[in-house]
Amino acid sequence: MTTRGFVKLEIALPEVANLPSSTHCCYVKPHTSKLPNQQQDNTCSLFVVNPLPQPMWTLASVRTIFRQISSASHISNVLLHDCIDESRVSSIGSGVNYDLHINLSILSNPDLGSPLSEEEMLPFGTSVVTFVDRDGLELFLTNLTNINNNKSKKKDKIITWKGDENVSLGFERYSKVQNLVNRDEMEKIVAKSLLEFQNREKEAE
Amino acid sequence: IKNTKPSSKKAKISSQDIQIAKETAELFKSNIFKLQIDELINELKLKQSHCILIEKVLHKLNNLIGKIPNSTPLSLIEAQNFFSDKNIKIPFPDPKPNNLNYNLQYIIPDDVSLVGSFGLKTAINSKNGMSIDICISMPKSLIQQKDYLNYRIFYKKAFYLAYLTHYLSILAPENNLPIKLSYDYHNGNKLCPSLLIESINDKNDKNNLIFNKTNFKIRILIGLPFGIFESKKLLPDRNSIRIQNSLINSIDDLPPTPLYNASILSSTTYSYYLKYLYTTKKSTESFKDAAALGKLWLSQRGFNSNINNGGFGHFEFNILMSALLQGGGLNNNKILLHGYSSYQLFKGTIRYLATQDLCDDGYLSFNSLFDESDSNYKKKGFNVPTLFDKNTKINLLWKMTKSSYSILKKFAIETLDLLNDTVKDRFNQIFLINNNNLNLKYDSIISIPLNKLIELNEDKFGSLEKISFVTIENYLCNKIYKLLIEALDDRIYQIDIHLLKNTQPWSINKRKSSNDSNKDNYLLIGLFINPNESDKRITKGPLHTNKELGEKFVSFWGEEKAQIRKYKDNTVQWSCLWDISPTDSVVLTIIKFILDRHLSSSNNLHLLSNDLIINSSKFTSLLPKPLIPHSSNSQPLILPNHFIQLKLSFDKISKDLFNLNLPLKIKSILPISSSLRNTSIILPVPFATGNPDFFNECIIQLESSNRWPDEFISLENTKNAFLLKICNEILKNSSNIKDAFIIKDKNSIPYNSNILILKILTNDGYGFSFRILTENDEFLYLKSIENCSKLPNSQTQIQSIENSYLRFMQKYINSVKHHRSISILVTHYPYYSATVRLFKLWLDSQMILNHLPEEVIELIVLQCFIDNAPYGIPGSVMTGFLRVLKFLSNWNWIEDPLILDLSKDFNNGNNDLENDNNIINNDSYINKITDKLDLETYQNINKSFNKLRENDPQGVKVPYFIGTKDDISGKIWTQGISLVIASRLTSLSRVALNLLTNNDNIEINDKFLQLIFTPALKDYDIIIKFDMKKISSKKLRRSSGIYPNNIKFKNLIEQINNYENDGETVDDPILNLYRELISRFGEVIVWSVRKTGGLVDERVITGLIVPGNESRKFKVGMGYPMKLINGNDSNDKKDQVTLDIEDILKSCAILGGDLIKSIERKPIS
Repeated sequence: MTTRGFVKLEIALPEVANLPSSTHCCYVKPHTSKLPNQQQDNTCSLFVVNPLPQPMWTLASVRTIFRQISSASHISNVLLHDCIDESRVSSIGSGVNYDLHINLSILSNPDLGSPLSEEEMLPFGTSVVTFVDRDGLELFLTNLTNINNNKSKKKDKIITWKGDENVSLGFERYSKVQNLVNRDEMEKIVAKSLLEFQNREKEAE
Repeated sequence: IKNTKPSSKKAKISSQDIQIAKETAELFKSNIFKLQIDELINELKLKQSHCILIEKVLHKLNNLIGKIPNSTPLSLIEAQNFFSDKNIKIPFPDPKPNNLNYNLQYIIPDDVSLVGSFGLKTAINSKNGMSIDICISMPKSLIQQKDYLNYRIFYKKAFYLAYLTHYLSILAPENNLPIKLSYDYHNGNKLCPSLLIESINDKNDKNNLIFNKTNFKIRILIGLPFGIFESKKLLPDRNSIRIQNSLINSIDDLPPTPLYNASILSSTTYSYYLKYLYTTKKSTESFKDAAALGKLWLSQRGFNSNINNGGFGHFEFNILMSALLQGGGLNNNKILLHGYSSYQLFKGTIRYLATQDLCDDGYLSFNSLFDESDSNYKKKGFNVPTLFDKNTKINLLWKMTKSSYSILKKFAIETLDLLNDTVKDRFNQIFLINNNNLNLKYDSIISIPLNKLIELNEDKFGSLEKISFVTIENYLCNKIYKLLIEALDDRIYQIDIHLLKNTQPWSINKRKSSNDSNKDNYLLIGLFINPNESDKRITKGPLHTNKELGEKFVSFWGEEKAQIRKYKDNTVQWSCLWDISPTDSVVLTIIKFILDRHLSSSNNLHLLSNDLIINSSKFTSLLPKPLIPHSSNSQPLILPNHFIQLKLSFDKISKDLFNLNLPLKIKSILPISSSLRNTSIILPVPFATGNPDFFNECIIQLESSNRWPDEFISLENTKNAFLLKICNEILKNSSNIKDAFIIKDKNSIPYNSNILILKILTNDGYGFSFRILTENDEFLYLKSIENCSKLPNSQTQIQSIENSYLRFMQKYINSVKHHRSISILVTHYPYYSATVRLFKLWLDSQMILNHLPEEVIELIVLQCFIDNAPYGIPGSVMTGFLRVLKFLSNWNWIEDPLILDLSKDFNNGNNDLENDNNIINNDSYINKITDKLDLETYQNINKSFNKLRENDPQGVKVPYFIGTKDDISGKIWTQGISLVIASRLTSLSRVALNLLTNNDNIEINDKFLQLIFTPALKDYDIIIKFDMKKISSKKLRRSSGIYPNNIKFKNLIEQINNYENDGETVDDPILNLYRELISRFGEVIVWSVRKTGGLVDERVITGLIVPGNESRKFKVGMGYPMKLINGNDSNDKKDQVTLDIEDILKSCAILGGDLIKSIERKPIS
């Protein structure tokens, strides 16, 4: 079953609290872009629409899910542009427009601004899962289509989300001060960023 | 959030209008005001059809009266026998006569005439209906010269009335007049029973004289011939009731009987004053309209001629106006002129009431004979409100008390201020808003059950008191007033004392209204508190050396309470020391004490204070009590020490920061935290890290420099480098710091995720967080907008960046201005702080607080303090709170801009009294030096409003408009507030207000009040419940610094003496989860949570599903979890997706993990 070239990927979510198990639907297709290694016939990446939210969609948890479909497909990287607007203050207006990619840095200074990161350039609510090789991607898609098309197979083969043991949820996650910064690391990042900016300034002159 | 406001159509003001207004200001305040008055007067007119009908009834009634036969002279016994089989009693006033040495008789009256406002044709429409007064004059032949003594005339009148009643009760049905009869005290005066005639109310009766629907009643008054008694003998200082009393040696020592005397004289002048007023009306074109305005103004403030309603009504207002048309100045100069407009007549009269003292300093003396027109203000008053007619020798204010006069004057002063307002339209506040709700009107109201009060004090109402005060109720009101005025002195502005209910009409088969009516009646003490004085702990008395006054002081306060104290200036004075309380104003403590001392039973076995109902204390006790040891648990309500301690800590940390050695010096540290302006729900308790307001946000401004990068990331990083440096330095150098750390600020400004915040924990137990502002920030936002506008199709992008800019302005610029304004105003309005805190608590209890910026709430609450008409500045948390509810339930945000004058110049109001003739003169010196909102700014704000509503007529983007000098745009704080939340706030306010201001419930009971502070969870689509073992409420309550509830051993309560968690964890994980949920799913579900989790036993997060996402075409980048709609084989549903609520809830459950007990979804109906 495809929608505009997308293949449906159903992921079972276990029972939690009083909620019974349920299914989350993603829609996937090969990821293409202007880059020469991301053309229709050579891309190793899969474009995922409607992935699970960030703490549930990590490299480890994606690997666990994908392995259930094709154990021979190896994943090297997961990019995620989460549908999240942390500047939303309760229901007081959304700050982020999910239809736009805004780069304040470039807008404030078109000559010296920094570009958005690869993740930030993805549409909101999408993910790119990169396989180690093209075969892995193809095998994965074939298996997924097979599962989708064969009702009895689909029944047997329930693909389940299992979480990532490195990601804490619940009390452990939320009782931490959020966004706490390691000062030493931050000092380095800041210093580096400022140095780069100085270099850009010099180049511009 | 629309509302139904009285039909005052507000015109928009243009500069041209202003010009015209200036020209017409002489006659009317403004054109708009004139239009409003015209419309109002039209609305107040009696219905023509009603008048025609009632005239028919009156005509018939007159005929019937003419048919009543004369009686023979009857002795008391004969008179009583006459009625014995007739089911009618003679309404003799107290004391009931036992034997009389004169006869009672009815002879056809000399005269039957219409009197009162209907007779004068100045009556107006009123909700409670209206009575049409008919005066029936007893013939001279029935009255003897000495009948003014010892109730004689009252007994004769009572018989006369009963006889008339008897015949009417027979003649009316015989002649098809559909009426029912009852007795009623005229104006509540127990010496003057009258006959009240109402229409019968029978829908099946086809009688065309049924006048039920007119809402009119007819009142028959028994009048006496004008001049029948020598009026000199009935002057207010004369005695007319001669009694024997062991304390009295001669008649001259008997106390005066002013009420008694005036009751007699006034019943000789019903028709006389009608003629007097009629003549004035004839000579003054606008008199009638002004009278209508006056009557409405009085009734909106609870005044009428009834003794229990201030004793100043339509009649008294009109007489005053007439007297002022004849003169009224010190040298008979005229205060009002015959050519004045209705507005001028009304305003002139109000000004006279506001500025002239008719009680202590002087009085108004006039002559109702026009040929001897002589109306003067005379110095030296009689210590009672006095408007004296030299011709009739009546003090026309005889029904007023000092108490009611002081209230009338207060309202007049406030109204004069409104009339002088040149900036805002005040018509509503002057005429349309009704200020009769007990809980809204007074700062505090104390209700004493009347039966109990009488029971405890009957023995004090002796024969001398009886003749002076007529009734025990009058006596008690007077006594309590005197006691409280002396006890409270300048702690209060005014005290209003009256009974909850007026005496009701009663059956004609009873002599007087039964005492049962006292059962549900209360004596009410309404206080207008002076918050600057009310909570002082010491009442100072006379110097110790003054023996005589000292003795008086001791006898007033009692030997235990009155102490001699020595003060810093070495004076030794008699004084009383009062405990302070976190819930009661000291005023209430004093009242309870003094009532117990002077009005309890003589053996003090029963204390009156046990019976008092005081609602205001219940509201203050809702505020969370701070966690401090039991022994010191008595912080005052006004400015508790906690706020002061926090400020000291802030000063200390600021000093440390200023002293740091940085490449650029810190120029200023600007606080923007609610706790630092005394408006946080929970009092700042040291080490209470669970308080959601624990970290006090501040903004650091560095010295200016031209080296700030002009690119966002680098600018933020340069600031961050400073912040990191500050963090390192302060950890090294300050002994005052427990810990400091840095977090990323991802919330404040969309698209700017590089902001860092420095958080500091001080050794004295407070938390502060700092961010840096440079002079380049604003520039870069504006630059970005400019650059963006050069791009093609940039409109939506610009909107997003403008939004970032707005959020920057909120966080860094306007929050500072707001903080500054509020922290000054909070000291000027002592009850503001506690009111805001309670109001925030209420919003939080209704799960709304998180949806509104606290600044918005503070401004809305401020409205009731700075723009307080017609109520006045709240002097208690209860009134503050209720008036905020009142404001919110009435305000129409879509049509009206809220414009607030945050002026710190508080004395200007008084100048208006003197300068009110130059009201339009905006260029006056005074206007220039104040920071009051001027007309130009006001108009500019109005312009922004009109522009805003042109683009957003339904208030979808900006539901509230709040303009101030700091924010002409009116939307800095309110842009983006959800319309759903705004509407919900309006409707919740209405519900709460209706429940809390229901005048039928004298007592607001505690459970009921709790209910008002409980959320209606059934209104939500989703409820997430938490495992309360994981996050103990008890623990959170403690770590929030709130005193525990339901505790057994008060001595075991432990204070928090140090930081109890490690600094990397938080006390309330639910708030973090909530943040995550709104960040992720806030677009499709409106999530709500209580901010102050420590106050709730069962925590929940609720969700309302935003409609409109049921079916959309599939696309990449939807912004929310979705799934294809089933059955998408059919073409119409192909590629349609829907919001996947189940999936969201599952994600919530997984994210929340062990915190969550259950997630419930309301069944879809």
